[in-house]
Amino acid sequence: MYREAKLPSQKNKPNHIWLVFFTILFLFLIGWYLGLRFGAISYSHQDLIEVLRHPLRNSKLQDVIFDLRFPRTIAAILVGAGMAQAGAIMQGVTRNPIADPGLLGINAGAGLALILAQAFIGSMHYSLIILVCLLGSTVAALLIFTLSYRPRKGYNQLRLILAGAMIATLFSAIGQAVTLYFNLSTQVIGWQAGGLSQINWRMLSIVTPFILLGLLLAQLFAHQLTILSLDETISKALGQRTLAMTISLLAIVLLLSAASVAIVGTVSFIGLIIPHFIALFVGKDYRKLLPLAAFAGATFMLWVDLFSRIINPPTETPINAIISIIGLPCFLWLIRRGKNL
Amino acid sequence: MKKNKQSFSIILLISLLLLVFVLSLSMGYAKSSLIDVIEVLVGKSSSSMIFIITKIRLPRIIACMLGGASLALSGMLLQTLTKNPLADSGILGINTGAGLVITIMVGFLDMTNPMTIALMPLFAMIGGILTIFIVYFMSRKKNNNISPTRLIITGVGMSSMLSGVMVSLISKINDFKMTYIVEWLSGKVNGGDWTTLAIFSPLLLLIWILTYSRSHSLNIMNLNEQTALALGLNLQRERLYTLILSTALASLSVVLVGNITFVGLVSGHITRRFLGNDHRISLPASMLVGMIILLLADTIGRILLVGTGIPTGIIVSMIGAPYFLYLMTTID
Repeated sequence: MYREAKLPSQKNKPNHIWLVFFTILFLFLIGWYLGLRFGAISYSHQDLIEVLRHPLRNSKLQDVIFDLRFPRTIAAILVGAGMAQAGAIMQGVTRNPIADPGLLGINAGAGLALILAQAFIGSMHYSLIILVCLLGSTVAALLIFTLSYRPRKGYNQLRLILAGAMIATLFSAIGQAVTLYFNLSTQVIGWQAGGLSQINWRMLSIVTPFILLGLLLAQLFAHQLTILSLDETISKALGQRTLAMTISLLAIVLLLSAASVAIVGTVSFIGLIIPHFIALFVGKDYRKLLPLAAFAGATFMLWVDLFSRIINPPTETPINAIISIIGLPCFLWLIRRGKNL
Repeated sequence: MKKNKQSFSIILLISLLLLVFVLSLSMGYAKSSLIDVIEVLVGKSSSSMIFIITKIRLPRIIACMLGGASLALSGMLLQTLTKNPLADSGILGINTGAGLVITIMVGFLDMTNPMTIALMPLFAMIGGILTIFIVYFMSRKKNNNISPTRLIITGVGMSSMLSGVMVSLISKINDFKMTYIVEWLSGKVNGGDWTTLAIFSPLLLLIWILTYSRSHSLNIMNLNEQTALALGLNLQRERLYTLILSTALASLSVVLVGNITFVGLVSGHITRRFLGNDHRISLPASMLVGMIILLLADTIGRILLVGTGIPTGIIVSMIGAPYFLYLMTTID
């Protein structure tokens, strides 16, 4: 009751947005700075500044920072932004507060496709990896939406989640079986638990355009998404071609999740936690929600990656594990709050 | 007429189970045949064959049967309790809850100590019960009703996240234990030695009998709430009792056979469909179905995929998840 009364009042205070923005910015910068400094080997502040001042001087330090940590942190930023935004769009399109590409099995689809490709094609070029992921996530999305769609009634909210969860279970079971059968554990295991340790500049240069494209396109559609998220009847009355809009927004989701999965593996729940958190402050206006969610997702991922490196050096704690620990309470809280479930 | 059909089905199930049992016993990684099994029984076989059959295959098969039956029974109870045909101990997160506690035990206690192994069932049960209580209370609405959809969603979310927590815990443990837990997570039958069986089977049998003795009140619970109350059933207490029984069953079998989902779902549904809702019949029948399913999956895993050893749980999931989807699209 209390929360319901509180939400609209927050919507009326636009200056909150700047406060949120600057808090995120602050955390983002600190996260990035720490992400560059700490890890399996930690450097002092002077060392870091020294390297940043003379980026072309060859040294061991320069190697680590420019060829390992920079691509890594940038990848974290991209993945976080992509996944958070994909989740936000998904929740808007399905009008379901707990829709998330991870929970709905879309990431699992991309993951399975990647494992199958590993088994049958072998080593692949990075652009092919993205393509394969995109294919897998599209198949998963099609399956989920056909299973939960009922003629004349639209898609049933509960079915959407259940079908998604089951598709995710099924795909990961098949993935595990294929992994074991073709003896791919070494190639696949790190990737399944979610990790950024194998990032390099070449891979980044191929994936970055995809994610940036997705982020920009989502921004262009933000206003339409706000309308679509209201109600099917209202959005139709406002003159929106809802089907076309749903499909194009889903395409953006697929693009973002496939590219993110290609980098980091099957990570769930970022898309669930971050948009809800941001929506607490800025309301459901997707023109503000989308960019802020992307920014917050990037920051969140930077910190998660940092923690995965420093909890138990030199081994890396799987990113999925850290996110699960943070995500569990958030998820339960969302379920408790959701009234129409 | 109806009685005939029921006894026919039970006999059919028992003979099916026997068939699968014999198949499972005679096939596997080491080449052997039905004749070898008979020779072992008669006592004329080579010592290596006796070893393979009595020390490796038989315990594993018994573990599968105990686990399959208990998971099926637990699923059946949960389905009656929540009045939701999609309920299953794996889907509701009980399995992972028990597994998390086991992970902590395996990780931080000395596994060679027999005391630890003896305490394992107890701790597994505590973990399972804690999880189901969280899931249960999360899905409670203000008017004290359980929302079935919320129950499933909370359970699915809980179990996927708890397994995440498990992975983070095991990343700190040594390699041997890590392998053990990864295999557990994907549902590999590893309770197959006689000591573990000796600890678990009396416990499970006891709970089976307890559960069966309640089949009458389960029948009443299946009716609507007013009728149940009018018939003098203490609904609150009965529900709690059922919840604890089903959780105990699931947690114990999870220790025995690993993290296996969907057995309860599939066997519960098949039984209900063919034998109706009378728990006096459907409880034992679902147990038989559960045994058959798990034994079959385990045998497939051992025979078809020789050498790779694909965990049983994965095979069950590959059968169970499509079945769940099919169920979902047929009911509203």
